[in-house]
Amino acid sequence: MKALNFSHRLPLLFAAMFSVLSLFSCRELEPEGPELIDIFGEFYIIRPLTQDRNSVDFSAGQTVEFSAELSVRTPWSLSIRSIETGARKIITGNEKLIMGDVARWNGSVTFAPLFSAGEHVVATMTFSAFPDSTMVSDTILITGSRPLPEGGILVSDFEDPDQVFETFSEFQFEETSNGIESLFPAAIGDNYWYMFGRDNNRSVFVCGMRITATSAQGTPVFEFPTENEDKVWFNVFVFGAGAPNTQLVIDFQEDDNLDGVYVPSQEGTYNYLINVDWTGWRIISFPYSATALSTNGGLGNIDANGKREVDRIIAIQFILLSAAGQNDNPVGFGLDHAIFSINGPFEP
Amino acid sequence: MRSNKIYFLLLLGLATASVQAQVANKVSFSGAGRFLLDQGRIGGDLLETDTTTARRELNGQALFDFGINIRPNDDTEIKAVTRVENAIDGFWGAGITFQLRELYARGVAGGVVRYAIGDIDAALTPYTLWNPASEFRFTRTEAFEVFREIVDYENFYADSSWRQQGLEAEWQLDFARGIRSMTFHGLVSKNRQTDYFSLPDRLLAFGRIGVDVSPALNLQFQAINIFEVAESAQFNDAERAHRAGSALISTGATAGQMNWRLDLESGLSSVRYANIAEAPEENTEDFFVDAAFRIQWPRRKLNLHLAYRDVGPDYRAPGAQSRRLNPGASPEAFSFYTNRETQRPITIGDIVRDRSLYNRTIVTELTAFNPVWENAEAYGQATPNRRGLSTRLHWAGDSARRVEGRASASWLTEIRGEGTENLRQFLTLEGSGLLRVSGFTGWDKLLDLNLGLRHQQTMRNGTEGIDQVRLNSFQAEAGLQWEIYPRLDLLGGVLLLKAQGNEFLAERDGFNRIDFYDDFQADLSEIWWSGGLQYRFSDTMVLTAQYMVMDRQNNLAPVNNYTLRQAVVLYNLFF
Repeated sequence: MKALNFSHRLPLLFAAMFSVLSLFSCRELEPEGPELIDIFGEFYIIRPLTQDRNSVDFSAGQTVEFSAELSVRTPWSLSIRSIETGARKIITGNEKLIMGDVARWNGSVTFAPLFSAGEHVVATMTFSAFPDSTMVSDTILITGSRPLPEGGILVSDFEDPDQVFETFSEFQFEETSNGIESLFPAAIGDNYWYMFGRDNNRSVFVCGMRITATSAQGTPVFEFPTENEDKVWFNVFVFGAGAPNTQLVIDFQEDDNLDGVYVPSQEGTYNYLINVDWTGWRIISFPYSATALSTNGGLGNIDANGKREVDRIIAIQFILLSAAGQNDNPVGFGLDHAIFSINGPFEP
Repeated sequence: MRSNKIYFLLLLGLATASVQAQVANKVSFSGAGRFLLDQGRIGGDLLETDTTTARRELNGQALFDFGINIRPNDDTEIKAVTRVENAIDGFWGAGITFQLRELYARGVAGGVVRYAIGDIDAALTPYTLWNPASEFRFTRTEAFEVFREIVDYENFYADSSWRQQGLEAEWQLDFARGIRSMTFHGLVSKNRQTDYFSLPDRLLAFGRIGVDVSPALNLQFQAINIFEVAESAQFNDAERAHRAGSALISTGATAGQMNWRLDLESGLSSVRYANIAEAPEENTEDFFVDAAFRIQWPRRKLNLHLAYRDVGPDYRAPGAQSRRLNPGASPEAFSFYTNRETQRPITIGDIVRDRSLYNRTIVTELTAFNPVWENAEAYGQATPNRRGLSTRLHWAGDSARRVEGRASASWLTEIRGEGTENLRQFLTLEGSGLLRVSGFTGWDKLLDLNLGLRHQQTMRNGTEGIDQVRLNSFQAEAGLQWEIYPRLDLLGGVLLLKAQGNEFLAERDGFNRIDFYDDFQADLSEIWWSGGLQYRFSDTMVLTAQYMVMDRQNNLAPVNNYTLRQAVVLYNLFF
């Protein structure tokens, strides 16, 4: 680069500009974000856990507001548990002043069965960073239960004796149960579907159950008010039987050519895998967009239309698997109240 | 009648030959092919308690990208690349996917305006629109480069540009007196697709004006806007707009045996929210200043770079602050581990090899990062809340180019404290070198050794010990490439990460405001060895077989320590 006469003055010009800009950069600023001492300072309870009522009628729209005050912000978990049934609602947060909507309970449930009138609940607040500190509320009596949310498309509540369920299994397995049961309390109502077996041949698949749109909704394919796969949610209560190798796969079979018949070698199946490693009822919810094309050769891994289409679901399959690499393990789960909801998850 | 048929066939033959000749001139082909077979085995302390994770995995893929370049005339080019991919367990075509990977048309309209429509690689300056390099790229080890090239190719990382889909135009005006020329450059692209309900469309638009005043003075002005399109989502009338602009002045001259160059860039950013109840009421605004002085001694093949920067805490330029590497992504190999089947943390081996860990799009959030990989410049040169000096020295080697070396250092400090008035200070030291042994011994075959070292220290003095930060990260990479037979190389490589200390990682809400901190602790050692053979059919076509051992020792959770052994066969081709 050849020097020009005026270029000798340019460094001075630049230096002047730079000095001016640097002056601007001498800023006086308040710290950003919450103060660290407010989070990582000494932890103690300033005001213990209380609630604003000792009986609540959720059917009348009442709620319970829990209050407490801590010295620092720390992750906390409020577990509201039914003394009679073990139903639980979990509320989490990290506020140090707990009041108002921060810990307000509207009667909804996290771990089924649902809360019912006449039950007594106790709330317990725990802190993951301070496991020795726990707060317990007074007992609260439920005088009216929260009505189930309206809307949605019920796939099955497993209460209708006339609904058709197609079952199948692999012969190597001791399939001890694959049908409607009422051995223990259902999540909702009296009955639920129960699958249980044992992986005794180093295989994965144990058994399955299929519900068609015809048997659920009376239509060739499930019909939704939207075709947006982010807006269509599938929800089901799943009972974990304490068998940690249990896996549940929910298959959504698409009738790609809308001829009323699902051909597994030509039409797509989209599925969602759940590791059922808990004990008791828990609701599982996911949007249809969270499913993935099957990877089982000849079993829905080829989608004739090459895309996921929520308006072409002809049937839903629930598959009981044993985790790969395991052998001779009991596996099983219960299913209840399988329902599609629109715009968001089902929140009983 | 018969003679008519003969004439017709002759004409048809001539016409066909003519068309083929034209097609040969107007159509060309390009693409890439790859076959990968990867067998992994996990071992170590982890397996004493982990009874769930499969001990072995066999993965792989075969894919082929086929590109067609069509030049219908001298001023136009159309390119389409299709991809056929088959997972290794997708037998008999069951796992095959087809997709259109790339499509664009470009050319010169009226001999004046250069334009491009479709897939476009766009970049401006490191503070406005820039794709900053990811971590662990401080030296080049041949054993690892073939995997890094795949990562870059798969994610469209061409230099420092972001792959966009839209329309671009550029034209230049030349002047007879006064300034020499002016260049105008503009782009509009779609950054995000609406879901028609709650997520609106997001567009990216930029304009740039370059003024070539003289050989010693260049001016460049650019502005970029990433904004949501109102009413493109039925149930959401929120609008967000991220604007940034800068002026860049460059001058330089020759003085004796030395060339010097001075670049000064300064700019502003503004983030505006509308119709969002929980959003900040006032626009978030800030500015940056960057001054870089470069000296070059051509005869000595020496370059020196000195720079000062001040990037405001609220300076927001998503086009320059989006990260490539996503530390929260799930690695493809052994994605989950432990009996709770938690996600296996990303290791240095995954960073080099796993293309799925990388982000291809510009995002408006300051996304998560791992401070033991990079803490000072987690969002590239435009990392907000940084002020300080940096220097870099590059020696391109002796006359026979037998030796090459680089060294750099940076001293940065925060401008505004996070959760405290105390400020973090960052010291980064980096050095790398390449030794071409053949140049000293006179061998006619390659024998290259390379070494890179990197140390980063983060410090913050604490009040009452609560906000104190001490984090040290050491990274090293060394490699060997020895041509033992013409085009057949013996490869070796090692990558090391050691980190110890603590940090407080900011957790941000959807408006980039800090709302909590993660108490981050590190006492970690990862070492990745690789060795094998590589046959170079050509510069763009290689077959390599390598055996890799990755050892991860996390002293904070020693029961989860493991060793991952992988045997990899890779055939990679670009044409």
